[in-house]
Amino acid sequence: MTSIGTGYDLSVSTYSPDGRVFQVEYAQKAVDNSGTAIGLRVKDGVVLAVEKIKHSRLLVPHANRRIMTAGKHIGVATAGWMSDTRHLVKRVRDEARDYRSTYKVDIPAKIIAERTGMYAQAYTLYTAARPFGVSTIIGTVDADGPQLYMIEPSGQYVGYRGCAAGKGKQVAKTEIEKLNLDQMTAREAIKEAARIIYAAHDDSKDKLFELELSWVCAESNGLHAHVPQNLLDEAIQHAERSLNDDEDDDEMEGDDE
Amino acid sequence: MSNRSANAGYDRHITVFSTEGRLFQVEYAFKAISNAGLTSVGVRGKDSVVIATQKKVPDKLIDASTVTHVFQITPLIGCVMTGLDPDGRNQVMRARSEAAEFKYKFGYDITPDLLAKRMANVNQVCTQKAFMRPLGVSMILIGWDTERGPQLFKTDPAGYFAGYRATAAGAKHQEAFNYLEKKLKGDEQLSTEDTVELAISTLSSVLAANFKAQDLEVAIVTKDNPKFHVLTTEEIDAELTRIAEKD
Repeated sequence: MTSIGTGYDLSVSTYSPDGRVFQVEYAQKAVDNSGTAIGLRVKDGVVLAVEKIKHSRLLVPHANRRIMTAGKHIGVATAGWMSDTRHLVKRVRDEARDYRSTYKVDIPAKIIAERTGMYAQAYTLYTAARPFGVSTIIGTVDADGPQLYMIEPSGQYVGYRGCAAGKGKQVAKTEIEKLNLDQMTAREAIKEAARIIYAAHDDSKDKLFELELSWVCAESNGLHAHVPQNLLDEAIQHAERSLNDDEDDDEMEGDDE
Repeated sequence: MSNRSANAGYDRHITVFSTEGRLFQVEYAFKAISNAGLTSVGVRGKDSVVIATQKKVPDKLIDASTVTHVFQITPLIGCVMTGLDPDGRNQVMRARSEAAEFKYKFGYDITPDLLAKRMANVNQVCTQKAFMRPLGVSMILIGWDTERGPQLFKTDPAGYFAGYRATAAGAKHQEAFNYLEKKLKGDEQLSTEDTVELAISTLSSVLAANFKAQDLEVAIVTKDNPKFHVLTTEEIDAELTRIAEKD
């Protein structure tokens, strides 16, 4: 099926003859060109990881974060245009703040996912605007336990046990499917997440990259936080070792130190 | 498609009619509904009305409990959305908002027919304004009207709506219509059990599939329990078993 819209793809308020909205599909392509982002929902928490591709060695390490916090308990990892990301995350933060202000409790995952999805969908309706070129992975722990949602540029969202977006999406998803997420702990998951990001990273395309890893779990007191430096270093070591071990896929699960 | 070059200028802008008097963007919106790949049906019986749709979870990493196309709008009214999911959620939010506003303004719950008419009117606006596209969804609405009993309506991107004894939307809606017309030839008013059975068997027949409880979403409104109620997997299982045993 041809994916060139030719004439029907100039505005988001136009359907093609076969009922597709090409602008939304193109926005998805913008996401597919960015660094990989993954989310894992495990027994006791949620882990987010991002392959932050750096375009210069002059960038300060650990600055220019791609994983952001909304409220105090929601982690937002994105793949796609960074500027669109900032717009969306600002909205996520506003929604979280307003909800807390009105209802006096932290916004549940289902609701923040819905609001983000609806907001993204609203930008797919009018000629005057274009869809967000971002896939947003939202992770948090609420009253229903660990929750993970991914919102696509079309505004479509579902809950996931594991999800991936960006360049290395396919590789990442294959790896994630092999994991036993329901039995894993957050500590184990951060190592797996690091390994998967390293596996999905294509060295020939973008040499410089930094792994960003964050979690929401008991160890972070139910708040969203970037993983502490020592655990991050451990995770990176594990990931680099796995790469060098010629990918022994079978022994990856629950590989504890 | 020589068609396309002849009408090239008219397709793109929905405020413009084609030479034959067609609104192409609206027709393309209908195609978007079929492209979504799901089919939904609604059937109205004597004391009940049922909607059923497929539940497809394409990715095993997806949390199946978050995938749904059936939504409650008011305590007595609910719907199944077929087509582009984000547009579906947009419509549901709008419907909920309209219902709440009606209750606030007039002091009583909106009835299914008025809600359907309101949603259809909103859809029509999109077919006349250039700056927005019609939503690629069809809403099958069911509810209990305290004066008229069980009600079933369907709205579409064109802004058309009608009340039905049975209806369908989605990829195989034409086949479903044919099946339903055959089954509901006369003026029979089905019992609650038969209504549920017809809804499920329509899907099984046109999709040539033997459903398991987790592949279906079913919701119902009855005289004895007029609250919009989405069946749990166990309840769907019980219905499937009952249907199977009948044969």
